[in-house]
Amino acid sequence: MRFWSYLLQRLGFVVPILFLVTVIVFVISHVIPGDPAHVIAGMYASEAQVHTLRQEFGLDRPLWEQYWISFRRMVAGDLGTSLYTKRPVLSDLITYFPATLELTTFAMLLAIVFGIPLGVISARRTNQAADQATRFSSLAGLSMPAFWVGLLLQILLGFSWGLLPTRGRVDSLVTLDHPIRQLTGIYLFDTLVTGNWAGFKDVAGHILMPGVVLALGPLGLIVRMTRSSLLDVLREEYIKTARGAGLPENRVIYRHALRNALIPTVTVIGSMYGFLLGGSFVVESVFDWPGIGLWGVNAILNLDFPAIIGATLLYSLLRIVCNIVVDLSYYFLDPQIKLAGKYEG
Amino acid sequence: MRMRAMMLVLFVLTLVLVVPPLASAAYKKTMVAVHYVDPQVIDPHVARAYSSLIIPIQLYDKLVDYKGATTEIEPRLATSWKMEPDGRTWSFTLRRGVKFHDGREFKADAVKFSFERLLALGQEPAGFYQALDRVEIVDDYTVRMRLKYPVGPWLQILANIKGGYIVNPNVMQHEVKKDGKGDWAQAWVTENENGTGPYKLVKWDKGQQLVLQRNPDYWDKTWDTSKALDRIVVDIIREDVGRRLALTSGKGDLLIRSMSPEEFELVAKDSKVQALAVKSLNPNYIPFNMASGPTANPKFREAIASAFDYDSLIKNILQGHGSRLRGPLPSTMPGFNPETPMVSRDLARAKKLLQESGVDVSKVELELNLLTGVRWTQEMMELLQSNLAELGIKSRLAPSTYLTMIGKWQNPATRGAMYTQYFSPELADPYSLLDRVYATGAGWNFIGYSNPEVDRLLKIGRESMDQGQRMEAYKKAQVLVANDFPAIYSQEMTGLFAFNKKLKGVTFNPTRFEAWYFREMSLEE
Repeated sequence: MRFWSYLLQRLGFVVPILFLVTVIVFVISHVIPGDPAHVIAGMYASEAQVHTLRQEFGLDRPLWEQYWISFRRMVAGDLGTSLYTKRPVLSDLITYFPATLELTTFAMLLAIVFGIPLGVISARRTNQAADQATRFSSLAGLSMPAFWVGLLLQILLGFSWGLLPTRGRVDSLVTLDHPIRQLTGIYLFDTLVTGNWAGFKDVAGHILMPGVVLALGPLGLIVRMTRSSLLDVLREEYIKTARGAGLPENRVIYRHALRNALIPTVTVIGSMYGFLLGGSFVVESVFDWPGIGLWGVNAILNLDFPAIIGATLLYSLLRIVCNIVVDLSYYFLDPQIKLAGKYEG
Repeated sequence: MRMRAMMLVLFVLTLVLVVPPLASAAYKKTMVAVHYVDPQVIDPHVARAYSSLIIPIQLYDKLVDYKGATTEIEPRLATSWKMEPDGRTWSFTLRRGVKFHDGREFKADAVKFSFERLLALGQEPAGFYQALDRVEIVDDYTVRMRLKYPVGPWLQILANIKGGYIVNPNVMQHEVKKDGKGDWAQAWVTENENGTGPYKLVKWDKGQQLVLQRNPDYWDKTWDTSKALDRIVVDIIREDVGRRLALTSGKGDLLIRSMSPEEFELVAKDSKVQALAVKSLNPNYIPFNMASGPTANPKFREAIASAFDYDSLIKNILQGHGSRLRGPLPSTMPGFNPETPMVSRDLARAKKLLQESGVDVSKVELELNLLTGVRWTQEMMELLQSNLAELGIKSRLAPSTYLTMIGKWQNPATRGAMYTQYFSPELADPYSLLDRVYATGAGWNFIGYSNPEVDRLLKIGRESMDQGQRMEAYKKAQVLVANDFPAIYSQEMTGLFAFNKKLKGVTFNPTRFEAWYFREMSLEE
């Protein structure tokens, strides 16, 4: 199948899926008991005041009409206004999403950069000490709750030894003196590119612990997936052929085997990335990382309907995009897909 | 080999990045206050939670305020006041020489603007001000407030933590118009400020930190600025453990929020920490659904109230930090009637009452609504469950988030049998605890309570200008309420606070629970 028709086919599903998501979220959030107008109006409000607020929020209209109004706005790019903060939901998303993007990307990079090589080592030294150690630690990484590991690291590295900051993304006192120019919202990048060395050190120090904690689960998974799929591939006939032809072992592994072995791993990476981008609430909570995980949960606790829908739309979009990217990456990883396409085309 | 070298390089790179952040240029008097949640909204005419209000109270002033730890009224932006005999008109003389943070002079127009804005936005802080008709400018330094009806505690209302803040009219430069309607600059004031207060907001990293800087032009010349804090960093740490560790490791100087009994016991042992247990104005109680179900039966309610183990709650769950609540008002509240009947645990009597009520317990399962995530509340409701079981009454716990629980109880069809209610009264006046809950049809009367005689007495309390008459009415009202058994009056809350021993001037005012004035504090070297 040709690349562009592959892509178009995938993209064709995006809009219907997003539409369905908005309907479901809208219905669910309105079915939960709770009237944000009454709570915002407060304890001393008269019925008239509550009614005025309900009108202002559009909550007095029939459900289908409320949905239609917000749907029309969404299509025009207006995700509505937060009932509580009165800020546009889109601007809140733009404020909080880069933090999650940065943390998640950092964690995934850690997991990939350490995980794949560890998986390879494990596969090459099957059942030896290196393999046992790697398998044990990857299982530990998968099993230990992020909450617990996070707190442990905070206590040890932060409070007891004072090596690293224990919370947040930046130290406000540092950034007051060395303000970070918001180019992309990815602070590591923004500080590096603007030569803000003090800011960069501060930001790097802050992202290390939550990044490591967030990376543990994916790391464990990537190690295990890489190991098992590489072992599978190494058993294939063409690998025996390559070895028999006298190719150096490194070339066999990295040029021939790994590429195929990575296919399942890439799927998992893409899926995990999409999932984590939704904001890991636990890690963000433990480290007070100001991402959309925390923001989304606050929206739910405040019954802030526009914010809830905005957050869910974003999560859904991210998952869909990640899945598409993973699908497309097969094109480059698996020659058989390309070949099949050419054959048919 | 290459793989290993690569990994070594990566490892070293990672270490190199691990450099503890350099402390910025040391500010001599910087204090770190540890908060538990981001304030989200710092608009003083909108913010309803004390967790939000702690910030605007440093940035804005009111006309009057409660003085220090007392409920005595002191002049702030108003220097004197006078009430007309009809109780409907109040005149205020305003302080001269006060500047807003942007340099604008404070005058009468700002007072008029502020109260108009408060009422126009119509959110919770406006709730107390429903009697206000308009504010008139007499001259630059005199205003007149016209009320629709006399309000006994009017000065108290102006002093309370919600609503009466003076906002710079210049904020209207940031007004946003949508569909022809202006927003009174709400979107801007939600995250920016322009007040006259002792501190200015210089930085807000959402969800993480706020930095407040002392206002060098603050009008109060009695404020000793040689001792005052120049800078306050408000650190947001969501986890209890993280906050406690911040205090004990010296990274934080003040824990804003009242702690759980377990956490409090842990910090009290630390020699560097000042642990403070204070009696508050906060009643905690478990209201009944009086409108439907078996709890609509008064004898049934009395039976349950007589079965609850109040002493176990205070001794075991709260570890001694709390005291018995006698009726709807705490003993610290002016107007408290010590003659109010108090229910104590008497299982034999409870069983007798249950029998007299005629309720068939085999057909009953009570739904107990409570907040998730608050351990002592969970334990209290589990205690209640076991006490109910002693009477042969089945029950189940239904935890939910705050808004969902309130939402359930606003609708008579979805109410459970009991829920957990805790109040932090803004006024040291029975008005702030009784009206909203026990007046027929009141905004927070979720239990369907209605007693015409209580309504009559509450009206006197609300409208009479004679303080003696008001308190008499409230004294009678609370006895009547208690005799209707609308709730299990479980306990008066004790505030459990902890801070750096070197932090002085930490003043607890019961009308501002967990909302401290940083201007009262100083940090010794």
